[in-house]
Amino acid sequence: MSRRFAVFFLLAVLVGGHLFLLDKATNSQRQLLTTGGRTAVLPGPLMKISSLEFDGLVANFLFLKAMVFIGETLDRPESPRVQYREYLWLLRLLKTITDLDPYFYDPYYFGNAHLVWNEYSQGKYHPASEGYYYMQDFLLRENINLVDKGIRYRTWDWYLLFLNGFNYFYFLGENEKASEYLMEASRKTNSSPLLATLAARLAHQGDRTENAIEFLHEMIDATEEQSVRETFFLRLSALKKVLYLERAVAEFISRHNRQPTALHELVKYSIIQEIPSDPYGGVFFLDEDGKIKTTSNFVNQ
Amino acid sequence: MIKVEGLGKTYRESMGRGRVLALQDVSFEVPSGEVFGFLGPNGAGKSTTIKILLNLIRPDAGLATILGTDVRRPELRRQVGFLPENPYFYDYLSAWELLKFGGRTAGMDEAAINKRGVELLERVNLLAAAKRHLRTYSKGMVQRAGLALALIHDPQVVILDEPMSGLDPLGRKMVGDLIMELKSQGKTVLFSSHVLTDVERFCDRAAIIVNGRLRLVGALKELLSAGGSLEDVFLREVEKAGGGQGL
Amino acid sequence: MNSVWPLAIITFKEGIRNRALYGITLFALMFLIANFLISGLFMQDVGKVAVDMALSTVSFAGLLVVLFVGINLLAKDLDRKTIYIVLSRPISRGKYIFGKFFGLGLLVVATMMILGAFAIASIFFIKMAYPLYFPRFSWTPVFFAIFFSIFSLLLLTSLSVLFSSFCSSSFVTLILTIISYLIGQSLGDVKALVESPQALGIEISSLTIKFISAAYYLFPNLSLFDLKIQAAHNLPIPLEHMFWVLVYGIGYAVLSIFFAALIFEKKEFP
Ligand SMILES: Nc1ncnc2c1ncn2[C@@H]1O[C@H](COP(=O)(O)OP(=O)(O)O)[C@@H](O)[C@H]1O
Ligand SMILES: [Mg+2]
Repeated sequence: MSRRFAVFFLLAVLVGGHLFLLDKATNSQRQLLTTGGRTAVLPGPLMKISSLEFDGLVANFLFLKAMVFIGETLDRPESPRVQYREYLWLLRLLKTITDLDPYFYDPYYFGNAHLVWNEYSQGKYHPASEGYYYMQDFLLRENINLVDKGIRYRTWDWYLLFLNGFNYFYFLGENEKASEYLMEASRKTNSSPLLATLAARLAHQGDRTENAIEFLHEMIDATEEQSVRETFFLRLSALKKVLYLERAVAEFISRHNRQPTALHELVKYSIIQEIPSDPYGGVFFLDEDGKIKTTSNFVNQ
Repeated sequence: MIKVEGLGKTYRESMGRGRVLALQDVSFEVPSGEVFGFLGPNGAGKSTTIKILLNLIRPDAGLATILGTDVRRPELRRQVGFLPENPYFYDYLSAWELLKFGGRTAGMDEAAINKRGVELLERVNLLAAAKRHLRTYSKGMVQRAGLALALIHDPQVVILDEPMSGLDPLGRKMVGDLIMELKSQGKTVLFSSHVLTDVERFCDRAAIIVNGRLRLVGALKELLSAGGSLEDVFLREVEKAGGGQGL
Repeated sequence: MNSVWPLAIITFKEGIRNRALYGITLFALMFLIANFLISGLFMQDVGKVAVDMALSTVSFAGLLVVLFVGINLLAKDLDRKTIYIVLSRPISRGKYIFGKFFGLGLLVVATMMILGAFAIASIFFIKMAYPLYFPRFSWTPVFFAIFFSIFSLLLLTSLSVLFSSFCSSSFVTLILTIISYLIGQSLGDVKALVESPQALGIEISSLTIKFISAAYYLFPNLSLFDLKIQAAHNLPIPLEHMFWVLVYGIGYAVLSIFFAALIFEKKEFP
């Protein structure tokens, strides 16, 4: 009886000790300097050699790592939420993943959603954030290259062509180039029937906001990831308000034969009831060049 | 019949370091229908000679033939049955599957294999355990399964390397009876041993080998005529040769 | 043939009843079940991920079978002298090698068929659960990928037979086979890198290039048999390519077995 008790006691002590030590060891691990989930990324050719016949599998797991990283940044309080060098790491990672399996759709799609649609992406057309200009431009162009790689391999895919069409149109303002991408996309099977019309309209210049709204509708239709959809929806609602204001300004000019001095004039002359609020939390204003802008620069305030 | 002429063998250890002279000019003959005892202390060269007879190793000098055929010819072994020293078989096969393998490789048809297989298993008292994996066998059972395998194709010549080792008195008696039975069927049997009392009982002729050299060959009666038991003769020869490597 | 076949059968039976085989199959099964959870984590290309995971599991488990069951079967024959009871039968040395290779081949094919069936089941169920995420999926390239994976393992097996014909211990055979696998799988990529080193911005000495091209002709190019990416994206696989790869594989395996038989002919078993 006492022997049985001794065994039981020993077992309890050992199990308790195990749990205690596990806790200690994992806690002390936090003291190690970590890379915050970002480990070194081997260049694609080297990764291809070391992943043997499991290129696809390694690509999957590296991509999971990219998703987990972005997922963890979502509840960071600071702004910008993701640091520039972290985006550079993400870019390198995505390049390696697409070297391992250049046909893999998700990294292109994911890259476009995060490398372009982020806090750095507003600089060029909204010079208020001049400091981000270089970073944004670099990420944007690298992302366009990445998507181009996907286009080269995924010859059946219209959506990547569409994405780069949008990038050229919206972020770089190169309508002709954008139109070419869209024409190409409209030739693919299963592509949206609206692409050809959109391409034709882009070739005509102008109508920037309206075209962007068209694009966004397409993108929302083809997107399932909730957080990305929300980004698009937010931009869509902001752009609809910009369009509303642009039309009001045009109306003002046709009635009064001059530019309004500020958006208040539109209300004062009863063209609109009130100035809509910016869903990003900024305030719309009329810039000196006659364009509608917002203090938020389309970045959540 | 078995005939070896001037066999010589030196083992070279890997990396070319040590050399072991295992056989030196060994010649003897076993006529058909005879039971031949091959005696010698441990490390004398018995297994080496037997492995040469089975073409498992090649002699540096000399020639070995069985039934007038060079031992290097594989077809010859249709007529030869062999039980290795300390036999080890596959873990996950049963004795029955082992016998099937033996019969098939010897070109027997299934009916013949089944018939002879059951007979042999009964004879070595393994019928009840025939379907069990060899992994679960005791040393004696493995030895007996090996005997059945050696005999499955009804060979003319049977070569047994230390068939008695590791067996209890009952097992020894069974092996002895088997050898006598083979003799009565007119088979040629060569077996090696260092247990002399067993040998005395059933061999016609014997050879004594010490340190790789054949010391004596002859009919059992001749060997014993010099006086004493076989054990005395054996010890005398080992002494003359300068001692075995630990009997 | 009448002595090759019985040897192949006992080799196969000894292998298929090995406990290690159950362990490997269990591992593969667990991975294939995990496949369900893992591929669900992806956003769009679920079908690709599911196929990738399933096929990689099959290949890897098959590799383990060759390395830890197959080589063990060869080595045990020599280490524990079970070869005595085989060679004391009317079996020539050459036939011993053929019989052993056929038995190992049977073992690889049988286990790969079972693993392949599990993999197909796992893809099937994931496809049922996420039918919209398999836009380009087709079964044909999946079958081809499994078939060619089996083939590359047979090639590796033939090499392990060759190694065991001259290696003194099973450990050396194992190491040589693993090295051949690693080289064979990466050689294609290494050669591509060496031919255009500017991809990494490095310089490669002419000696290295010679060394690599020597290895290229010596070791089997196992990456030729890897059709997993093709299966995952349902990319076209030209019949001509499959034909030449198959013939190449058969040629290489025959060469290895032939050399193994030659070496074995001279071997002694003291
Ligand atoms: N593989 C081997 N390598 C080196 N020496 C060996 C080898 N096998 C046997 N020998 C040596 O050869 C001699 C004869 O051995 P063996 O024929 O097995 O003797 P026996 O069977 O009579 O006991 C012994 O001295 C033994 O040490
Ligand atoms: Mg011996």
